[in-house]
Amino acid sequence: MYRNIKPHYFSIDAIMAAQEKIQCSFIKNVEHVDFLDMTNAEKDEESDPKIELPLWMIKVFIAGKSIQFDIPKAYNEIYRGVLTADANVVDLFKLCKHFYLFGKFLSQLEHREAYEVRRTLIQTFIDRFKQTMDWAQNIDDNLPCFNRLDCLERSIFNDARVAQQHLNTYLTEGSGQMEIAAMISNYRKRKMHESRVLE
Amino acid sequence: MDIDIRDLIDEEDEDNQEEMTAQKVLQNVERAWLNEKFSPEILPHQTDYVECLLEQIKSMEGNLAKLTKTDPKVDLHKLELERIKFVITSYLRTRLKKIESFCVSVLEEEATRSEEDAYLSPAELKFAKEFALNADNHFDTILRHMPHLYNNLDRNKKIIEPNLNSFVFLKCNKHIDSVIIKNTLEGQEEEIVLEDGSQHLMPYSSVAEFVKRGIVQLI
Amino acid sequence: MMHPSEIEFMAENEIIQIVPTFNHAGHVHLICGSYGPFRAGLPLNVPIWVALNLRQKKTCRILAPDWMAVDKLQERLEEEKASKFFTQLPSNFYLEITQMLLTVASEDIPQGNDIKTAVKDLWDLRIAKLRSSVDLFIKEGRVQASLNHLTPMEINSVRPVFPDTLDALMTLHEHINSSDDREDSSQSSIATPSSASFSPSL
Repeated sequence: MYRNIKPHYFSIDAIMAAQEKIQCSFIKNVEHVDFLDMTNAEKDEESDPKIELPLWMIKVFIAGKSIQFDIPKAYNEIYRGVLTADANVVDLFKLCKHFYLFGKFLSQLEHREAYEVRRTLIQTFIDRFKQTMDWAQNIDDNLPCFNRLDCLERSIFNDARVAQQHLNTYLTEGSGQMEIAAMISNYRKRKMHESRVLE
Repeated sequence: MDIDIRDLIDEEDEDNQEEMTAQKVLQNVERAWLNEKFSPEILPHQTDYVECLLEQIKSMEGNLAKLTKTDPKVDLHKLELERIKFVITSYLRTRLKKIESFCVSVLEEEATRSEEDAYLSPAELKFAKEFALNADNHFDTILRHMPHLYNNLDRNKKIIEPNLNSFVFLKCNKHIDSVIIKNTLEGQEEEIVLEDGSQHLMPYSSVAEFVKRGIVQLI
Repeated sequence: MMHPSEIEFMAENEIIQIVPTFNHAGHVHLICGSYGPFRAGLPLNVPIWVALNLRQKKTCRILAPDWMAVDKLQERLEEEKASKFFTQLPSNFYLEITQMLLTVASEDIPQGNDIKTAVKDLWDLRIAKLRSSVDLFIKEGRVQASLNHLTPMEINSVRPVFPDTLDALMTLHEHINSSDDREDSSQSSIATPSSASFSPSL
């Protein structure tokens, strides 16, 4: 989803996001899929009961126009209202680990609220950006904040944090001697150890 | 980036590579190094310049062997060679990383180019082909045990492409009258003028052509 | 991605004046250019990496660049405070050059500590400006910005977070039907049932 690469088939984040479940109900009879609902193993899928299915599977049924789904809690009208009021106070990770990516997939499905979901995603990301950047650049113990970031924000945060640490080290100590790669220094240590053992 | 006006090469200079000094060659490689570091896609290779520098290094190392160790020059020459080697290896490594990430798309695009317009050097092309073959073999060892419908991975799935709309920082080496920037947010296009020496942030796709022609330097 | 030490590496190509304590009549013909002659007591121009190397061997004294003086830096600081934009600095690598020279040749540079403080103040001021413009840029949803007079180290201080955030934002924006979902075309044509009946092919 970011870092100079277009979304692609092998993206683990995309696979994980597509696993998130959505509550839905069938509007047509669908045969041979009773294995999906273990609690109700007796009968075929019918119009009434609601079940939770992962997003990738829902896409299959939507194509056959045999399903309808509810917008998951994190993206419903109430939460959209909360996020619009103050996105910075929300624990996104708790709401949905892949809040943005799953939200984007969700908004690509046919649903009357898809447009609002999308708008909320973008506005939430923008509203939270400054806070994420500030946390990443002020290196104190702020792990509790980190816990409230969704996976996309986390990867941006981590990269920003690493870059900031490099810069801080440079500003306080200069570049000094080039560091020996861990592999080489471990190799040396091992050699030293071996030669001692031999003695 | 501190690119001095003096350092700018005109297109005429590029045609007269014979007359290029070692200093100019070094500056070209340094600029190519930075462009390659910051551009999302792989750029046309600069093998001529790299090989020219490697020649220089070789002959310099030969000369150094003849000098006495107490000569104050020796240290400086050695240090300079180390600096140049650092730039060259970093440049080549950056390219290899891109070839590995975008192997399928890099090879497909390369197939549409003539030898003169090739983006990969012959050695890089060989590496890319072997890398693609190894990846295919690897997939095959797993997938052949899968049911018929799933036992091959088509091109669309394998392909990983750079995001050419990634944002880059750049410095303009020449006046450019018109650069078109797509505003995805508003679904519009903006047109701007880049002044000589000005610095900007914008999507790479807007300036890709200028980067390849050496008119824009990524920073 | 750029490591700060790589930017320092580029800064080392900048030219600076030294006063050698040795004599070497000929020029040193480096690939990056020819420098010399070296005459004890006579200043000459060399790249910073040469200056640092000679200084570490105690065979030269480094002359601080003109701008590296407390009063000059104070002026810059005032100018920077007064300006809404980023002002043009006398060196594109002011921070790195100050840091390198004061580390290796602090005895050659009078008022080293004050210079360090002034440079740090200038840096902090500019970085604060930069961060608030980055924030504004994201809020306003822009796609192009002028960054005149920002130095490579300053630009690098907002990398990768700034470009990456914009990339992520644009990806969120991409049109609904763009093929950025892993389950499109080929796969769904295999797995999608054309009617309401679905017999898994597993």
